[in-house]
Amino acid sequence: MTDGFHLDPPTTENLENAQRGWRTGTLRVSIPAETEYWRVLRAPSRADALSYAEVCYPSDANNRFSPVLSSGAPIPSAYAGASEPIALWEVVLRNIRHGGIKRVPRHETRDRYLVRVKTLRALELLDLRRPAISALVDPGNRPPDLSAAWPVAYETTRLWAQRLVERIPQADGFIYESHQVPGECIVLFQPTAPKVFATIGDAVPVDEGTGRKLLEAQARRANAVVDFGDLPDPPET
Amino acid sequence: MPPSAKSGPVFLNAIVVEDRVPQFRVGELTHVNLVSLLAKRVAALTWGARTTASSSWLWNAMVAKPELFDPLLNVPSHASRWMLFRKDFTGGGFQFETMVEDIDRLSPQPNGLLSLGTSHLDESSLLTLVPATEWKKSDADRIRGYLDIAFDDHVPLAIEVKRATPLKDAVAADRAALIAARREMLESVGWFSSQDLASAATSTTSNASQLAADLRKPGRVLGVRFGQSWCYPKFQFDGRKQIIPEMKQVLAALSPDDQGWDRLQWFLEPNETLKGRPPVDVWETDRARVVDAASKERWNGRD
Repeated sequence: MTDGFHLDPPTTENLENAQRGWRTGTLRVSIPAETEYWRVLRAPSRADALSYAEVCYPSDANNRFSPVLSSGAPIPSAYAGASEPIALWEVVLRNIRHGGIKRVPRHETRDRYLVRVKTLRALELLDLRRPAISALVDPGNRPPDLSAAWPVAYETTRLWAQRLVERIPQADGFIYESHQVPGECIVLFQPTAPKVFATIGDAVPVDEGTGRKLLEAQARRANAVVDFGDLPDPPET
Repeated sequence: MPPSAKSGPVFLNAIVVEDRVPQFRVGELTHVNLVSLLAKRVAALTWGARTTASSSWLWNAMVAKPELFDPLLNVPSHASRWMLFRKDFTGGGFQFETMVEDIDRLSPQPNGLLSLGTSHLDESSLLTLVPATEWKKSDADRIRGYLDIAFDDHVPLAIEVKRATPLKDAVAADRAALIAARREMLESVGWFSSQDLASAATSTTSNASQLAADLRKPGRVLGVRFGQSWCYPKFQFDGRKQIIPEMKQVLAALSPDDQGWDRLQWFLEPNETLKGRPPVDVWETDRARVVDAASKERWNGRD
């Protein structure tokens, strides 16, 4: 099924269109302060998860739109979803529809926490949602599937992110549609002021209690099962 | 009497084409609706219980990925041959069931449609017809691929049925699904037992399990724990059942994994560093690339 997706790198024309769209407001959206989101983070403890959730982090891990580099170093970035399911789908379950194996590996849930956050200030984001994203291409052409891209196409989505950030450095980040469940996600790039969120409530581990139940329920939506490594032994073959 | 999927009405979800522009149609499977639809240029016709067929998944996929459905935009009006696919939510993708000749013959009695390809359309299945006039039967796999991709891109409303499942049953179903997933992974690559490894070893030990554990625990060989036994995927051994040395580097990068299943799954799934190819497919010809791909994984630490 991986052969079914194709994404071209950005062209100069795409980037000029993006710059124009940002300038005219077609591709720019304002998110007010105190807008709530959910984040999923890997951390050694609840306290660390709460601390990590407040800031953008210069991770060099390969994700959909990051790392974006500046002078060879990753720009601090942060992902968040508009709901708990979106945050879980975009991080823990992001491979489940594409891998063919309907099992969520243990390493996807180990030391991961779900944290509710709110933005500390208003954010100006590049709008990559439909229909705004059509402004990246000339009329009649198909816009790039940046949010629908499968993990194997992330090399190209990262290239888009790199070029877009270089062209529009004043943008706080991108807003895009979750490809997995209805709703929106944001990715923020904050080279100078990485603290962008305040946390609300406690961090919830995704492999126990309510976090686990929520994750299991989401996985069932894709006929998948989360392997927490603690189910009883299966019968002998 | 209207047709039913065991306990409820059957819903249609169709794409019709007018002047090469696709349009979405949804409604109940009735004689009137069916005749009305078949009078148009139909690109795809799906039906099932409300929880499955009322979803607009097919339409969303068509809008999002028009290149996948372009061939269906050229279908003739009044197609006389159709390919019927069936998907069961309990597992698997769309399977080609049969060719349907002369659908007009069935349209006066929608119950006739229900009997196609399945004796009991229930709340866990979905049927899709696509015109086959210009397609060969061998094209069935291609269409099935289209449907699988489209459906995978959209969360089916059939989840509503699953949500109603009592938690106890859901846990039991999860356990069964996990066992099935593990079994499928293992069978896809083949495996040796501890005894197999012992018989190939030059060691004089008589304890096969201990010998295998001595290879597994320091990370020289990948073992997966299935029940009370450890199984050793075949791809990590050469023709003389000797361990391929690069395994040690891969296993060191992919840790921790007490039971081995995450590592085995990593070998089997499309990998970004390997341009979408599963590591197991590259392993035979270019192990250095597989080692490199493993080294780029982030199973630990802040991300």
